[in-house]
Amino acid sequence: MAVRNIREIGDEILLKKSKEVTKINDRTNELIDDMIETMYEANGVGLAAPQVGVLKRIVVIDTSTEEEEDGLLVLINPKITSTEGEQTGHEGCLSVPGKTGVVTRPEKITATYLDRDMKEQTLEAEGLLARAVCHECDHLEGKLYVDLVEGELMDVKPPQESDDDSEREDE
Amino acid sequence: MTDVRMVALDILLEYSGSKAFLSEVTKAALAKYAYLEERDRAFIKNLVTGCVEKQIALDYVIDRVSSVKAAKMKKIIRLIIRMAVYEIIYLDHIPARASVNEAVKLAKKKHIGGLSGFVNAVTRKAAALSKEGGIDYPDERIRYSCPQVIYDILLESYGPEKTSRIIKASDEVSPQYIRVNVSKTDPDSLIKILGSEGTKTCKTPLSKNALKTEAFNPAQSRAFRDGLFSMQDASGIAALDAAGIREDQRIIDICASPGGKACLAAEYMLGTGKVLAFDISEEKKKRIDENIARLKLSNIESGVKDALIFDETLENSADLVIADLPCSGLGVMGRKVDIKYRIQREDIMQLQELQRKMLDNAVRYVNKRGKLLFSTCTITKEEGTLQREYIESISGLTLLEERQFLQGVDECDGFYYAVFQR
Repeated sequence: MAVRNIREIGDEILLKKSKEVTKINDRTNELIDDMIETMYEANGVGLAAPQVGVLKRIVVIDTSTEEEEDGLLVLINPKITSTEGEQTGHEGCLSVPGKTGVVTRPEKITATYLDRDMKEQTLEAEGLLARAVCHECDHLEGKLYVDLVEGELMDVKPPQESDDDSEREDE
Repeated sequence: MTDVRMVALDILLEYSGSKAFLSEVTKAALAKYAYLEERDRAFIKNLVTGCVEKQIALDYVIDRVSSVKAAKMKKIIRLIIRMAVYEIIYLDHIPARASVNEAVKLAKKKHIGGLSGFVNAVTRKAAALSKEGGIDYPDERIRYSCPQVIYDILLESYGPEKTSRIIKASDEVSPQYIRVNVSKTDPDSLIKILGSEGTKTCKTPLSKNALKTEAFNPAQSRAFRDGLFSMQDASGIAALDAAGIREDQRIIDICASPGGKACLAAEYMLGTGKVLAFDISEEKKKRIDENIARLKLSNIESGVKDALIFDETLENSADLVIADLPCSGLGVMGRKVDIKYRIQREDIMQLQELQRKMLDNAVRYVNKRGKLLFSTCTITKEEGTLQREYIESISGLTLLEERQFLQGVDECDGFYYAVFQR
């Protein structure tokens, strides 16, 4: 497995539509493994293939927290078949580093997709997972969340690092 | 007995007065010393390459200890001192005292004995500085001998963190890969065969048909002579993997020499189909032919053809066109050590223009279900992602995938590829 280079906003590849996957071969598996590693390395909750330069309809998502069991999802040719309700909240994207914005998405979704064995599966999701599926499926259409943001795109405040030096001032 | 440092000095003197690449000058010079042992030849190559590759760092050290700046020295003195300082800093197995003495002797032999005191003083001081716990370079750019122009280009494209990794990797020994000839053997068998020859290899995530190897001389490998593998970086192999070659295809490589990618395409078709491998001169065609012969491939033909001139007999004829085009080579500046000193911004723009003229022809050779593989062994946007939009705009081809490898970030050379389909 290898970490791949994540494409950032301004790169036109992010505006292109991805193509359906018709068969899984060694290269597709390698791509999926690399996407998973790249997502985890960047601390993301989801990643779509065009974000690493490959115009294929593949997304990987993991919205689980450390305490929870493995929540990794690999969705091939995902299609959102129905939605329900609304949620409004902050969203970010590995291709738009350092930024966040408020986006309204469905609260619940149902999606069909193919798993790594090319078997058809159905996913029912709500909350963060529903948001992530919508966000990643948009990437496959060449759409970025920045066009859906209500109000301004904001800078993410860098997490405050504990400042060891300040504690040593009296020494 | 031949004085190996004298040979190295003569090569450096000749190189500094010529426009040829260092590797060409070195190869031609060493051909005159056919009787030299392999060990001596390796030492000469190491000295010559190191003095050129690390010249910015070396001159920084020289300037720290010398009353006369390196740039103001007589050329021959500068080269003698650079060689000694290179040995002192980078070649741990040679005692500094020996490097100093040899430099002084060289000055005397070159009839500039009057300056031998100066050579002695500067190299001694450099040795003392190096011994005091290493040299504190003012910045990474100087430590890793990256010219300012290149440094600025990298910084604009990739930011400080990646730039730092790129220039460090370019100053160090590059990882070495071989390509398994899948029409003759398979990766697992080749690992065993090479193991029995004493060469350790292992698999890599970059391509299942690439093996990472320790440094070794392929000329001494029977498996190499038998055509079981070739020397090729994993990035180039990954590019051909991305093209999704199938049996019985017709493939055209418009700038094929020395034939690595064209031969790989032929290997992937397992004796079926046909690869047409073109390059601009008889000389370049010869290098392709040597590889075809060694690999014993029957489904590839070479020819002399200028990629800038459209050949209507090839129109709409290829299932895959390989356009691995002339470029600035910044992805391999760690292997071809003088590239970084030659490339200016204008060159990159000119190369972009040249590539576009070749691409204008290449896209017309792609048949109605066919693909185009565009690649360059560099890391500038102008010769990578910026060409992608151009290709789509002229051809009606659509992008399937692209990848930019960066040396130091990825475990291979810096390299760009994009695959398009009609």
